[in-house]
Amino acid sequence: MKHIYYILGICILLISSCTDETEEVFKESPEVRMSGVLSEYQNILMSGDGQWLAYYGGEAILMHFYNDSVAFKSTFNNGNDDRTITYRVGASQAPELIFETHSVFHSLYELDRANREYEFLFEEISDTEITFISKTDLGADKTRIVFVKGVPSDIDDARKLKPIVDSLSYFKDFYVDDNPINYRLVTLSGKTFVKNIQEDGLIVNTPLDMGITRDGVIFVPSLEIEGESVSEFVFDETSSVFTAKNTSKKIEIRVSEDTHFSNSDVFSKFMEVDFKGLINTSYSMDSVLTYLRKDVPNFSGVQFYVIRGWTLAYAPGSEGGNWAGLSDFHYNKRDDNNLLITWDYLVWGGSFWELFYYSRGGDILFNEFLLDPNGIYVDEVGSGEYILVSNTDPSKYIQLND
Amino acid sequence: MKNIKIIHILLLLVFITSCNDDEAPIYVPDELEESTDLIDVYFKDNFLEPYGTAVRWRWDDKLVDNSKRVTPIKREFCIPMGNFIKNFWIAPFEKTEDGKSFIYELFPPEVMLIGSPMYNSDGESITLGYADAGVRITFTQVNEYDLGNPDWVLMQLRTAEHEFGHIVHQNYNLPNGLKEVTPANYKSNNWLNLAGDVQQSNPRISREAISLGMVSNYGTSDVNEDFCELLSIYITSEVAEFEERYLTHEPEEIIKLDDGTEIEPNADAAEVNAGRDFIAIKLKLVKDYYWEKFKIDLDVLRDEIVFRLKNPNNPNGDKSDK
Repeated sequence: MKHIYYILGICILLISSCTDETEEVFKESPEVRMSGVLSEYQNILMSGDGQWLAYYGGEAILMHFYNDSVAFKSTFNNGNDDRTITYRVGASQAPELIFETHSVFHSLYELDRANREYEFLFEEISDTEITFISKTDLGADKTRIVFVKGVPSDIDDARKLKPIVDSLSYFKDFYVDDNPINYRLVTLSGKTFVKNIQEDGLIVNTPLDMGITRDGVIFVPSLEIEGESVSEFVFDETSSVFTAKNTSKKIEIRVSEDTHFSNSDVFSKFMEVDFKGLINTSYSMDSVLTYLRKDVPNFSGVQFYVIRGWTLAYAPGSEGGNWAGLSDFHYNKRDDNNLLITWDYLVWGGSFWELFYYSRGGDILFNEFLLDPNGIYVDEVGSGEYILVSNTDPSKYIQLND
Repeated sequence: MKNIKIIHILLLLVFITSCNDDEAPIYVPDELEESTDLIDVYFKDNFLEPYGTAVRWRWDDKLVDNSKRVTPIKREFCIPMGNFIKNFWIAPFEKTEDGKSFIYELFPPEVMLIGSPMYNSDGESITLGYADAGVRITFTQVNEYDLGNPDWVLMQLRTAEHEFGHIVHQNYNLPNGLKEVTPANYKSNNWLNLAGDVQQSNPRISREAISLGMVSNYGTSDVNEDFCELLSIYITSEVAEFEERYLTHEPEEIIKLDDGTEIEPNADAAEVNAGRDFIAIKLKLVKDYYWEKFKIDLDVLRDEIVFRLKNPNNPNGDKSDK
């Protein structure tokens, strides 16, 4: 009988435990709620004038969102990749903004498939700023991109400023409250980093994206300089100085045209390793690679042998061999420790040396840069990494790696 | 004891009836509005309604293997690419009623358009296109659209015909006897090690592949690829070009010219000629298969395709005027 009471007790408990009065946390199904979130995000994109500005891959990109399309206006490729395309706000792992056909973001990705992406998830959203996080970046420190409100004149002004910034001298050094610090901004074609020489002499480079704004530049991610987080700089063309916005200290990047003097250690290090590859150029020199790609079939790169004195083009699959170029260059150290390259006479080798040498790219490389009698400044920017800068025109420089 | 049984039954009833889900929220999807986008309208009129084929041109990463890196098609190339598929792939088949039936039955239910090359995980090598389980054919490099570039036109068309070949054999099996012609000559992934001494790319071809009885290096990977490569290259090649490379024997002995000059044969001439004989056998099997199963004469189809390749800007032109 005792058992019966126990069982009856349990029975009453069970009956009372299930009730229709359970309050639902959400009134709608997950699908309805997700649909609501996506609609809300799209409404924010279209809110106000629907125009948002982003800086990515060193370019300023304005997007004008309509109900079912988005119009792009950017500094990239003189606006030739700007299109009006369709988009949607969808959900996979999380809400995401999907550009349904090719856009400026895809063009930038195609230039650097290893480091850029074009699929972004919403991370934080407000009426004035939207932060996206990369969907495909597998690293712990995921790429983020920020949309802020913008207007078309932002792009017009940035387009005017871009060629000015691109043609600045190599020497862009940081100053804090008028005192130089060991930071140098290095801008190359499609690549930017800040070189910092630490107290122990170690060189640390911080890669970042530098976008041209309507009145200066913006760095993504922000830089940490003397305890300050700096992102936006205003450029004064008259003094060639970039001044940081919103900092308590006066932080500047001063652009100098002065002839600099290499130290002898850099020259010695530069000459230690014979083989070097041309990795990148300044914007003022990027036509070298453009012309060589056009004129030399299968062109892949330029190689320098500083001890043996060869300068070769590499074009795998070429008839008659993969390499061709010229020899008997001499790499000399001048009294001021700058580099002077001399060449006594024309000595060539390989089946396509004429295509290389007589290309406009070869002409600029050899006659307007390497063999300049004013010499070349050599800057070390990492282990086995060097920048060679024309003393005649310091906006012309190339990056070499051992 | 009896009471306990009754209580057990009561308990069971309580369990069954105590919780109900009448109040569970039910998702009612929004009604889909038909797109009025010009591109959607074009693909609906030209592919979805006549062939039941959905053309995927809007970016959707779920449709691409996530180990590949690609970018979407440019909007301005969507409709031109649709016209390319119609004029170069579909129309030659539709010159006959049997060809029309063949297309209506086997044309893939899904076609995907990708703008860039499809880079593999190594970041450098690319996949030209592929067919997923006989359902979807993916075109890559559509952003390089250029009817004036014969390499691009041939690459796209051969990719389509190759992948279409997979759909055919996945539905109807391979031609009888094809597997038995060169069963020991397939190299699996080792096809990648073959040279490009006949043709460097699009497709890469070596004399060794021809010696093995295949028309391209990729064709040596397995019998399915062998079938698709033979089919796609045959129907997109001019007669003389195909015969000279793949069917006509080259000299195996020294040739003495009238002026006394002697021409040495290639060292591997006998092996390559033996391979050509294998290709001839396979080609006959493939031609017979298409005729017997589908009443499609591959020679007639080939002539129609080659005409269009020669007249890319006037693919539907009247041949009699030419």
